[in-house]
This record gives sequence, C-alpha cells and structure tokens, in this order.
Amino acid sequence: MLAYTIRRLLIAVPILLIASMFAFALVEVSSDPINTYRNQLEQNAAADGSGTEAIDASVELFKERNYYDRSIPERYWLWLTGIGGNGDIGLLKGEFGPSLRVGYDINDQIGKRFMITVRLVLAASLFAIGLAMITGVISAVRQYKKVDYFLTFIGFVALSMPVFWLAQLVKNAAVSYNKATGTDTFATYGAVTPGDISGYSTFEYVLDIASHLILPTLVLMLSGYAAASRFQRSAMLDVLNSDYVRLAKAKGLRNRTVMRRHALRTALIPMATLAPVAILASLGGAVITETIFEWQGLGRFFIDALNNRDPFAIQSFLIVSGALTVLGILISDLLYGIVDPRIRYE
Amino acid sequence: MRLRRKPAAVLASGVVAAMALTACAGGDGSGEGSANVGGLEACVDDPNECNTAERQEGGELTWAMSSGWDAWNGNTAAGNSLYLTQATSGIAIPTGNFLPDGTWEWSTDLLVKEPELIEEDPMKVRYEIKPEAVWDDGTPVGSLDDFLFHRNSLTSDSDLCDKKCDPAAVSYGDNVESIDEVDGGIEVTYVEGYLDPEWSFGVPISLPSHIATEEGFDWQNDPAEMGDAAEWFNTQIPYWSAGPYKLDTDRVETGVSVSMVPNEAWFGEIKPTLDRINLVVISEQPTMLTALENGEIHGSEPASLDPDVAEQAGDLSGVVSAIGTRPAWDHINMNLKNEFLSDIEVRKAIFTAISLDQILDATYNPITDAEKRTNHVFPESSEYHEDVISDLGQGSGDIEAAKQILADAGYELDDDETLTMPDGSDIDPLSLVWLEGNTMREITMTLLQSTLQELGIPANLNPNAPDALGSTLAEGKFDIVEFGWIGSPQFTGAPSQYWNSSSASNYAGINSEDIDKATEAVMQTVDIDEAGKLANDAAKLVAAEYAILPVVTTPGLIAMSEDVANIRPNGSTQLGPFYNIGEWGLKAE
Amino acid sequence: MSETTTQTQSAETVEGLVSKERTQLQMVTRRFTRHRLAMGSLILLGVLLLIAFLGPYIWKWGHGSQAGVIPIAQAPSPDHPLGTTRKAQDVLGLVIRGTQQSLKIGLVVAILDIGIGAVWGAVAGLFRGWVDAIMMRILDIIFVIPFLAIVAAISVGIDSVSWLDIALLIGLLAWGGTARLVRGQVLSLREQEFIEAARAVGASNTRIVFRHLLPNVTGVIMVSATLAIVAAILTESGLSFLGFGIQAPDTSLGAQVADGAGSSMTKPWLFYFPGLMLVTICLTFNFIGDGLRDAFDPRQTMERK
Repeated sequence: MLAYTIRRLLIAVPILLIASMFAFALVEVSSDPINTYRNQLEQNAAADGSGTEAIDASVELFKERNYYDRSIPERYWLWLTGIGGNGDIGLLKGEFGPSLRVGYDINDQIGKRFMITVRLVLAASLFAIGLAMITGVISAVRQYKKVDYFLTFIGFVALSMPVFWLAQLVKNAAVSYNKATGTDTFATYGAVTPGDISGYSTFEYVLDIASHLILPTLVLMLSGYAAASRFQRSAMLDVLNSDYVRLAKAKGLRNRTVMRRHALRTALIPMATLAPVAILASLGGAVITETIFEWQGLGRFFIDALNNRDPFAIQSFLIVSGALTVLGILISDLLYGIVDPRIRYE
Repeated sequence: MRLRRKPAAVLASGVVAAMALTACAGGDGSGEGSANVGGLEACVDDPNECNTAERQEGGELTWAMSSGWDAWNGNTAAGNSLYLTQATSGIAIPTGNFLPDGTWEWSTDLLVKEPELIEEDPMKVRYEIKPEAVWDDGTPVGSLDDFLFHRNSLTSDSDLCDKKCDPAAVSYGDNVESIDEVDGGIEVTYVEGYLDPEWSFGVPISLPSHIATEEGFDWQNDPAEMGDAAEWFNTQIPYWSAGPYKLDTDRVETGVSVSMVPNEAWFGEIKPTLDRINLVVISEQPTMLTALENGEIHGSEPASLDPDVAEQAGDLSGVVSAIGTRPAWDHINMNLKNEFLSDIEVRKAIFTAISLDQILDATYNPITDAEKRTNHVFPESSEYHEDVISDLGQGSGDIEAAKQILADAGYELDDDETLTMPDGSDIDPLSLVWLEGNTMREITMTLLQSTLQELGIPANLNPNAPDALGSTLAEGKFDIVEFGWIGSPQFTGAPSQYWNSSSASNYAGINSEDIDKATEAVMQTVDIDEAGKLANDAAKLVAAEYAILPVVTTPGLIAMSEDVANIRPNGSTQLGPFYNIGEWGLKAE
Repeated sequence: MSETTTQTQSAETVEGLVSKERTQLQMVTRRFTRHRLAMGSLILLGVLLLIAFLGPYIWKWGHGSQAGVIPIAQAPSPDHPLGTTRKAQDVLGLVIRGTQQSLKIGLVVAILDIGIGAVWGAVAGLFRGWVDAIMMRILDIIFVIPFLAIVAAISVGIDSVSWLDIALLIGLLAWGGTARLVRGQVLSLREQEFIEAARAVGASNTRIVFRHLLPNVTGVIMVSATLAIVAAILTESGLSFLGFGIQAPDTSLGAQVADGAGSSMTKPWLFYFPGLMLVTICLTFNFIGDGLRDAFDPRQTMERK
C-alpha cells in the first residue's frame, strides 16, 4: 500500500510537470503583458514630451521585476526552480512568482483564498453528496415509480440550469425573505461582514459566517448534487441487477435485509470513493459561484488574474488546482482499496 | 449580471494631471422611459450643498467601490490608480478639492493662506502650512522633507531616485529646480522657462517622509534607498494618516476592502462622526444593488452606467439615487492615416451626416438628460466652455449636405449606390471600433454604420476587448473609433495629449504645426484663465480638421441609502463622492 | 486453398456481426421508444432544430441591432412576441440565433467528442501496455487542469471569440470522459470471442477498431456525447457570464441570459425567454441521453413489475 502510494505520487510528478508546461505555454501565447503595460502607461502619461523616457524606464523595471527580460524557456525554468531569481519565484521553493500587480503577493493570496474556498466548497460538497446518496438510492430502488420520475426530473432540471441563473433566483428569494421578515438572515455578498468584528461574541461570529455561507453553499450544492445523484442512482441500479443480489432475493431473504446488508453497502462505495476527487477538483472550480457572491476565494483569484492578464498568477492557479485534482484522484484510489477488499495494490 | 472583460489598464489618478483613456467597461444598454431615479434632485441646482444634513454621533457606514487596487503608493506607475485614491481619501493630506460645481477650494485646515505665485520667471510658488496640521503621530504635515520626498518620488533624475521609484509622472519632479524653507513657508522654484498653469491646484506633498526615515530609509542621500522607500510604500498598508480617518490596518485587505476609524489627531475643523467607514469592492453592479437592497451597504457610485441597475435603484425603498455627469466624455475619432479618410472633404461629409441628436436619443436620452458634447476639452458646466463644433455643421445629421460635399469632391455613387473614389476605384470598408461590452458605444457605431451606408460608404463593426483596444489605438488598426477620455478640471495637459503630433495618445494622427503650437501654448502660461482660452483656440483648430467629433459627456449613477448624510455626486473630479469623506455621516434622527 | 477458407470465414464473421447489430438496433429502438420522456425530447429536439435553422428564414427580425426600426426595451407585443432589448434587438430573433449557436456548439463538441474521445479510448484499450499508459497520461494532464480555466485562459488571448472558437476549444479539451468510458468498454470487449475471431482472420488493427470495437460501444459513446453536448452548452453560458464567451455582435443563449440576469426583475423577458430556451435544450439532451442509456444498457432496466 505504501509502495503503491509512493509509485502513484511519482507518476503524478511528471503529469504535473507537463501540465505546468502546458499552463505556462498557454499563458505565454495568450498574453502580452509588456505591450499592455506600455500602452497603459502611454495612455495615462501626461503628454509633456518628457514622458517617453520615463515610460521606457518604467517598462524596463516592469520587465525586470517580472522576469520578462528573459527568454521563454529561461522563464519557465526559473518559474519551476527559482534558480537565478530574486527569491520570489520558483515552484520548488514554494514561491509562485511575482504578480504584475505590485503589492499583490501571490503566495499570500493563494493561502488566504484557499481557506475561504475550502469553507465554501467543503460544506456544499458534503451536503450535495449526502443528499445525492439518499435520493440516488431511493430513485434506483423505486425505478420507474413516481418518486423516481420526480427525482430524475428535479435532477435533470438542476443539471440543465446555468449556475449564475440559479444564483440570481436564490438571491432574489433571499432578499424577499429578509424584507418580509425584517431581518438580515441572509447576506448576499462576501464571506464575512466588513468592518469591526472584534466586538462579536463567538456566537455572533458564527452566525455572521453562516449568514454569508448559506446562499452560495445552496447554489453550489444544487449544481453538484444533480450529477452526483444520477451517479448514485446508476451505481445502485448496477448493484440491484447484479447476480448476488438476485441470488440473495432468490434465497428468499427479506427485501429490506437484502437492501441493507448487501445492496446498499456496495452501492455507496463508488460515491464514497468519488467524493475526494469531486471535492478537491471543485476547490478550483467554484469560479462562477464565487464571482456572483463576491467571495474572495481561489476562483475569484483566477478571474482577477485573468482580467489583469497576470501570467504567474494564472499559472499559479492552474498548477494549484491541478495538484489538488491529482491529490483527489490519489485519495480516491486509495480509498477505493480500503472500502473494496477485492482491490489489491501490488 | 454578465461579467465583462475587465480592462487591464488602470485609470489615472490625481497624480497624473492629464487624462486617462476610459477603458472602463461601459454602460450596458440604452434605456427606455426615463429611469426612475430620485431623491437627489437638489443636486442639479445646488450641487455643492445637496444632501447636507445634521449628522448623528456614531454609526458605521459601508460604501461599495467598483474596482480594487493593487498597491499603496500612488506616486508609482504601478500603484497609481483612481481606486487607490478613493480608498485612501480618508487618510490623505487635505490640500484642497474640486467642488461639484467645478470650483477649486483650498483646504483651510491645512493652509494658512492660499499658495502664492511669488515669481513668474522662473516660476516660484510659496506654501504656508498651519503648524497644527499634523500626521496622526504628531509629526507636522508638509515639512520641507515631505515636499522633498514627493519631488523625489516623481522624477526621472537618477541622482534623486533610482528606477525603483517607477514614477507615475515626471512633469512636476523633473522641472523643480529647488525647494527651500523660507520664513516658515515652503518655496518651490521651478526650472527656468517652465510654466505650469496648474500650480494653483493642490500642494505637491503626498506621503509621510518621516515614516520613511523611521523605517530606516536614507532616502535624502541615497537614490537607491529612495527607490526602496517607494517600493516599501507600495506594499505597506498605510498606518499613518493626515486625514479625518485612519485605516484599521487589521481590517484592510489590499484591493478588496478597507476599514477606517476616526483619526484622533485630526486637525481639521469638521470632525468625523462615524465610528467606522468600510469601503468594499463589489465589481458586479447587480451584486452591489442586491447588497444595497439588503441593507448590507449604504451606497455606491458604479464606474459605468447600467440602465437596468439605475432603474432598479430607483425602485428600492429607502434608497436615493441620481444620474449625473462624470468627468468623462465619449468621442468619435477618425484615423487620418486611412487613405479615404485622409481627404478632409470625406471627413467633413461624414461628420455632417452624423446626427448627434439621433445618437443621444438612442443611447442616453431615454434615461437621463445627457449632455451633447460640443467642446473637446470643457463640459458645459465649465466656465471656459464654448461650442466649437455646431457652427461647422458637425453632428447635424444633414445627409443631403453631406452627399453634396462628397459629390463636389469628385466621389460618385455607382449603380448599386456605393461610393467610389474619384479615380473610380472601390473604397475599402471602414473598420468601426469600440470597446466591446459598452452598449452605448455599440449603438452609436451601429447608427454610424447605417449613416455611412446612406452615403454609400461600406463599413464593418469591430468591437475590441479592453486589452486589444489599447493596441488597436496605439497601432492605428482602426478607421473610426469611439472611445472616452476621463478628464478633470485640470485640463491644461489635455490638448497636448490628444492632438500634439508627438503624443502617443494622438490616435487620430493629427499632424499640424499650428495645432502643435496651439496645444503647447496652453501649458506655457501661469494663468489658468488664459490657459482656458488657449485650450479653446486649440479645440477650434482641431474641430476644423474634422478628425474628432465629441459625442457626449458620460453620465453616471450614484445610489445610496436615504439615511446617509452629506454624500453627494461630484462630477468635477475622479474622486467623486469621496471628496468630502470627512463630512460623511448618518443622518441624525 | 487456405486463402479461400479465410475469406469464407471472414465473410461469415462479418455477416454474423451485421445481423447481430441489426437485432441489437431493433432492441435498442424498441426500448428507447418506450422511454416516454426521451421520445418526447427527441421530437422536441426536432422542433428545436427547425426553429434554429429554418427560423431565421421565416421570422422577420434577425438578431442584429436595428436602432430606429426596432423599439428599445419593449415588453412582448404582437410585433415582437418576446419583447425587445435595450440594444434595439428582437428577443425572438435573438433566441432563434442563440438556439442555433448553442446547437451548433453542441454538435461540433459532440462530433469532436466522438471523433477524438471514442477513437482515443478504443485505441488505448485495444493496444494496452505502454501505448495505453502514454495515452492515458496525456488524458490525465488535460484532466488535471480545470477545464473552464483552460478555456477561459485561451479565450482571453483570442481577439474576437466566435461560436466556432468556443466549440473547438470545448470540443478539443472535453473528450476525456468519453475516452475513459470507451477504453473501459474496449478492455472488456477485446477479450471476447468475436474480437479474437477477427484477429484470427488477420483483420488489421484499424479494421478491428472501426468495424468491430466502436460499433459495440455505440451506446456508451452516444450517451456520453449527449452529456457532452449539455456540458458544452452550459460551459459556453458560464464563459459568457465570465465575459470570455461569444462576443458581440454575435450572440448565444448563454450571453443573453447573462446579459438579462441583471434585469430579471424589471425586464423579465430579457432573462426568462433565453433562459427557458437554454434549460429546454439542455433538458432535451439530458432526457435523450437518459433514454439512450436505458436502451443500450439492459442491465439498468429492471423488468417492469
């Protein structure tokens, strides 16, 4: 098992490495920060004739600070290893590189924002998966019954809705509720109330966090739930149609016993093992939800980076979310071995 | 609700005297019916005093900003941003303000008396700072060191500061000969021959030099340490203040939110009443609106006019709103390098055929009484405003006259109503460019396309993404473009920037010695009134070139809770409602 | 002599396969037609296709802005049954165009999904060993980076994003799921007799993949493709929301919903009509996919009691 884990980790390294090259190349071809910066300075500069030199100097400084005075392969190597840099770059040293935005510390930001996203995604995913397991199983057991049709329909509608559309509906409903009750139960933007919270008691603090968490969690949950419940339904159907369940039934075991002792346990395995990869992958994927609710999480970090055409920030996001996904897959695989004794790691 | 591609470009702040390209993603859609904003009608007739109210003691106010900022030192090119200026408006040195009606008002809190121009050649300006004006740690504001530090920050002179200073502008710093303390006042002497009519707007100080010294930077003697200090100021969340508030640095998130508490050492006459002001960045207008409706914020002044948002703001109970002018204006800009457009008769015909009234009716007029722009430099509210385009028939929408001009110049319509060059060859379709996502401009250019069609001129619509627009303009990859300039009452640099043949922002490609001279003349005076006159002279010359057609002074929305006191729109400055942040408060019951 | 034998055997094998396919097809069709929601959806899809591709010729307004001709931001009226936008566009014209673009995107993505994903998976599964390992690692690399992120990052670099750009971007990056599924199927199929038989008669690898393997994983591929279509349409709408999607003057349903979301309260027709169309299209494909899954995978269909 340990050997297997190590081997899997070793395989993950080249994958991440190539993915990082891919990410790097992607950003290289799709952005031209130097030119953009120069245009921007020229537009902003007072046209008093003395500007050109100052602009040149500023662009030079900009290039140097962001390592654009080097060739593309050199820059990649630098980004990866940090050898020859100013100590602010080098993935292997745990440095993501400088941001085009002076004063924007990518390392710092990723750390902070990761925690914010975790809060959002973890709650949403756990609810979504829990709910999906329950409804998926019900749907399978009652296949082609009214309840199955109903759940299937709900699931498909959720699957067919753009997230931001759903978010708008949820927000409108929440504001109406607040108004109708004259309370501020639901907050519609941000992760926490701005301003002074030092005077809050623990309870008030938790309440404040919860009031901000509830709407985005709901939206993220609904969109994750639908796919998961379909998955659970089909896993359960597979089991119900399997020979050993038929056998158990044929033996005359009570339906309930068959379900509990044989079918359910097996049918929950795929979902349980899928959960880690789903959760970890969605840590990088809550882009739209975070944007609508102004959560300063990783997804928002990425959108900001894109809008600023900030190469190292974009790459950082891609590589971090890539690493999370790889980690998720690894955990899923290992978990699969633990819950399903038929799997043996060589 | 749809997010738009955001501009990569930052907007110029007050440090840069001239104009910034308004790359801001613009209004989304025109409108129908007049938007039902209301509650701030008084601001039309009484712009400086509207929404004035008795303030209650205490309270917490949360205001949404449209965009974040990256760094904290606005003197650097990297940090210079309108939003930084807004976020730090509560802690900045109060030197003076442009009031909503466009007049400049010196700060009597800071200055003993108005600065004086004591010598004209070379220029020498004297500043007298009140001794009670102090930073929050008790150090006097506006010491000789503060003046020197500001100058060193904004210069390309490598003996004063190395390249790490990355100055946002150098026209001030490079032209200062000396700064001396004379009889308790500070006298700034400029180099021989340098004239600047804008000496009368502001005091050239910004950051606390003593903090730089305390932090161990030997900035006076070592240009490298000056550069280090400039970088340090970029990353350090300001813990100092010379304004009515100071930042609660534990509750500040760079580019995301700022929280301020009253500055106990504030020396000004009007004391802050609020216990706390929070500024939060909410970039999406619908999100902002929902938050306003939900009582999570007290108000906001979005960067661009979204008619849907304006309309919904009017529907919110307990919210007052207004659509007023912003210090920005849109214009149609021709590329004189295009062979067809290089003929002034063609440009004359096109400008004559364009109907500004039709354009305004289709864009802003349904929402608000937008100002048809008739001067390239001054809005109607300016005392220097003169209509320089109407007499020339520009924007009149006279299609027949336009056709006649073209016919007289030898252009003929062929069988299928398409115009041909005098030599009989075809005209390449013109490329009409604007910032993608700005619906007002999209409508304008669509109308222009059909106007051109009536003249028999083929044209294609080519909206550009913000980052693409910059290079499209810089490299002249357009035939006709509509874009905006952000202006301010500090106008004297604008003519040179727009029209001087050596300017990088002369996107039309105007190349005329007369215009070069006229634009330079605007800055060669110390008298602001004369500069105004000279700017109009330059504008008239430009109008006669038929290269740039002003369209509209861009309106903008402000919406806030009716409980808020003393916050009002200010279209004279990019600071907008932040100009009097010390007076902000919640209305007394 | 031996040659003749081979030929005969081969012909027999092929014939056997064909007849097997036919009966399978009949079975599938029968099961599919019994899935009422799926059948209804199939009919609805036909209607949608008609609207999308014939609509522009029948309906008098296009999706373009016609300031001065079309009134601005008007509620539904006889002349503009779905209302008009602030840009002086007819919403019905927009929805028709958007439906067309969404379906085109879906179609291109489906083709790429099948064309690349299915072949990739089949080849990997057939060859196994190091070929399989390399092909799967390549998939891993694509899978590792969030899909939306790649598309958005590339889209930033494109000057004017058209529907085809978006379709190609999504299509070229999103076939991993299908490839994995097909590979799994092929891994089990390749051990079965008829493949061994084909090998025994000396059929080339290409022939085995295209003649024998792919036809037998049709079900998996088709189900996967319908889901890919839904995912593509929703991805495009998400991209439009983030500002990285199809750009003006062209339009898509996603772009329209994103534009209209801000006015859901004041100008509901801008939000709901394109939104409902979008949801309808996605629902249609989801149900068809569901029907196909049930039809192709009899194990999932318990006998009705």
